[in-house]
Amino acid sequence: MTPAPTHAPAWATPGATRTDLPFLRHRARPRPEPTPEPEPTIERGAVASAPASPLSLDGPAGLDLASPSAPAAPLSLDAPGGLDLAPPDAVASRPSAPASPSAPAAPLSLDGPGAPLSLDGPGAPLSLDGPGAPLSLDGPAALDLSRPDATPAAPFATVTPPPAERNLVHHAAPDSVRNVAVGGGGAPATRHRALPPLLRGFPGVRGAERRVLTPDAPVVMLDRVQSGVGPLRVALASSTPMGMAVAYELDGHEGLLRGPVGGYAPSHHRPVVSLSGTTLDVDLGHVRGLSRFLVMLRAVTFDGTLVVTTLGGARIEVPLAHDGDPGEDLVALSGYVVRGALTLRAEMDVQDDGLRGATAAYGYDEITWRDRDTPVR
Amino acid sequence: MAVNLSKGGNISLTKVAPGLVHAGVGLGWDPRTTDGAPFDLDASAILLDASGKALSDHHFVFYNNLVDPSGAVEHQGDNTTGVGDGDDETITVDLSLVPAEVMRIVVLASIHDADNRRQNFGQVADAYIRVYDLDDAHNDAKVVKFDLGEDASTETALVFGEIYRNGTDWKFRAIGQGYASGLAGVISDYGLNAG
Repeated sequence: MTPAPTHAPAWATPGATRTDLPFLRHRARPRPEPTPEPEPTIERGAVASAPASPLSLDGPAGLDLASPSAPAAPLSLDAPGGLDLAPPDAVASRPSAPASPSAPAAPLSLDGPGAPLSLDGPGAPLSLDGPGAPLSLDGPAALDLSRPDATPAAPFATVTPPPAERNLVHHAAPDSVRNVAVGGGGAPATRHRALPPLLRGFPGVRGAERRVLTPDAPVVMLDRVQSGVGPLRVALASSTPMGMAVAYELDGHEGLLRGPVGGYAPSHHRPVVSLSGTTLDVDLGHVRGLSRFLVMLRAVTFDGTLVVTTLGGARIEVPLAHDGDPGEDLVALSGYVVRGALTLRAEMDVQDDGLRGATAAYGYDEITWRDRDTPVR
Repeated sequence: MAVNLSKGGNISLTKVAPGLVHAGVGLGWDPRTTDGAPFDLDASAILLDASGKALSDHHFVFYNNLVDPSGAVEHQGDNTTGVGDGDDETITVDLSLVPAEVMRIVVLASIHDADNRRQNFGQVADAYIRVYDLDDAHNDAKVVKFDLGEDASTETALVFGEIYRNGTDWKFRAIGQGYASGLAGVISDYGLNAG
């Protein structure tokens, strides 16, 4: 409902002094300016050398995630063929392809190498309902969710703040914002394309709903409003001492934060990802710069619950129960921004090769390391 | 000379700008000096149906969804500082593409992370919204403007105005309604849920 007016500006009153005249006299007029080419809309960090193969998610074939034979594995969006969910060890060389929502009639096949991923067709919606069947897509360029190989670990010792050179400015306004394309006589050039429809088949969460992620139902997808408004908090509820580390990719730059002291990324002035102790905060107001994150825990015994809360009060819980070996890391949760929607997945994947091994297993291969647990600043 | 509206006022865009098809909606503001925390204001638009609710989540055009499904309403980008002359953020509306079920397009702005930064619209000066003809953008006679004045205090989100159907005509209404509950509070009033 449109609210009723309650006040009128002073200048609207007869005889009152016009206060807007100085503004009008000095306000710069919009000037015609060339409009840049439309930008790709999928958030995966665009790599200049990425092959031209677009990410197509609009075809008739659906993403079938119901196969019981599909092993659980990290979701990777980096393959040349578009949405690449290949096994961790296959992600080593991973040029990114900016997705093209209007990708042509590229066949929607998930069965062969290099086949674009299509998730929007009427035929086969994305299904996660199969017993113990996390995301599964056969084929090298398909959605591969197989578990990464495990390797040895060590306790989180020191905190490494995000590299200073990663102080990124997010959402910098394009120069043309102040002088939007107003070329005389022409229609405004559209610089953005509507995002393609959300991936189908992933369960959502509404309002203050509580959702428990289980091996049978490990995924939840927030809608674009939930994914873009307010903070997202990931907090550990446990009486067992545990350390938390978070790998992230912001504007195409990867980094790592480690507890207990934690840190901020890209900077404390404008933190998008912040870790303090065993609490992670993600500023969803900058979600367009965020591609993905990975929450890892370290303890002798993993017990408790990882609790994710949204601004609107939705609560997503990841129960932790694992008797691990000393020094093991538990990759507990991954988050990927796909088509503007944040998708969370309970990974529950034990890694024993330190943070370096754990992050590498999930395709974070741009982080450089001083040792297996300490990234180079 | 631009047409200036007062709060609650409305005007036919067709009369101000005959033949208007491509409308530019410019929002501007000037953050006052603060304790150092930067102001980041975000403009957005919601496409509403006859019941006053958003048609869907996808009809909320903001920094995480720059274009509505029809392509009629497009966010031109996010200015994180509000520094400089001219409109701080712009939303364009191709009236010819607006789906028939869309009756109103509400334009609002919110302060990002306002609670943590202890910011509100009381610290923002010279907020305004203007609607103009993108095809004749230099013609001041085709501009409708609403200066929000200094009314706001603790509000962290403001509905600046709306473009709405009136039969076959399009009109603009100056609103200036503030919300202390931020962007989440505004959008919930229009049927959207941030949780």
